[in-house]
Amino acid sequence: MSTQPITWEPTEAELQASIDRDLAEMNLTREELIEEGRKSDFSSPDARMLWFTFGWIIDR
Amino acid sequence: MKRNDRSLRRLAEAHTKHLTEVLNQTVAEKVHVGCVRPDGSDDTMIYGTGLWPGQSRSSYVPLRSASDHPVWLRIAGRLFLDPAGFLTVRASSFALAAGDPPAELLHYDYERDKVAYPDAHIQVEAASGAWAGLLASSGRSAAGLGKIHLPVGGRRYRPAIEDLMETLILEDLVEPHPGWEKVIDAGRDDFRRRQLRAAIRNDPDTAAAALRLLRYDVDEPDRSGSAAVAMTVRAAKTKLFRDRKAKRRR
Repeated sequence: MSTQPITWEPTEAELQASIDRDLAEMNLTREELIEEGRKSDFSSPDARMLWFTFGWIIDR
Repeated sequence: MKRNDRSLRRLAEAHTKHLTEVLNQTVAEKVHVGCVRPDGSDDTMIYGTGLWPGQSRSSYVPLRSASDHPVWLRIAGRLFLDPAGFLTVRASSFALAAGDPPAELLHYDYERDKVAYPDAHIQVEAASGAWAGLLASSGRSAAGLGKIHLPVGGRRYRPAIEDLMETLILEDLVEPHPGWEKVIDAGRDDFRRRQLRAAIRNDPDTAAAALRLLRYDVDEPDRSGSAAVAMTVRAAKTKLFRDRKAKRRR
């Protein structure tokens, strides 16, 4: 199997839509995730992972 | 595409490729670690297990369990280039889970410059009578051990992913591929050397003093002109951040 990385280069709209889908599945608003991230007290492992990768976009 | 971005992308993809190879040559098979380069960002790249185009959330990937009980790993992180052009982790997390569906056992988190808890820490989903008593008497949830951020070596000396892989193997929780030792050792050595180089760059005077004790001749660099300005700015920024952090703690 090739180990060549696959890089997704989404547009801003594509990325925001994907983040919104993730948040909806977690039943979280953006504000709630930001609050969880600031306290490092997450409602689920999914929420924590989303914060660690795209929290900076959600919080900007 | 800016020059900086090309370099970040190249280094981030090399990092991702390394992670994929380490996993597939030690404790996993055919797992995928992908990258995301957000549009409009020329200074950040994301990586994660099971991260395919169209997804912004990493997923658990199976490890080669040593029993019929599934074991899972999930990795994600955010990378940038520091001012000197070195690939740097802004935040990372790796989580271990078991069962079907996966239930988290523990996770290691690292968030650079975090306030109120250690930048690098481990949180373990477990129960203990002693902890329950202490937490309850401190006004915390008695079942809250998993909420405690236990420090793991700070920014420079936090564990590598290879350390967790090795532990799973040595504790007979996963079935390794033949030759796993060389892969683990090489990856961990590389990580630790990079961390050591970063520590030296951050505190060259201590590094020079240690070398002089070993009888090395170490010359002071030219601290005039732009090099001096860069060092002064860097020191001022570090002091400013530390002061802010101390103030927020008070």
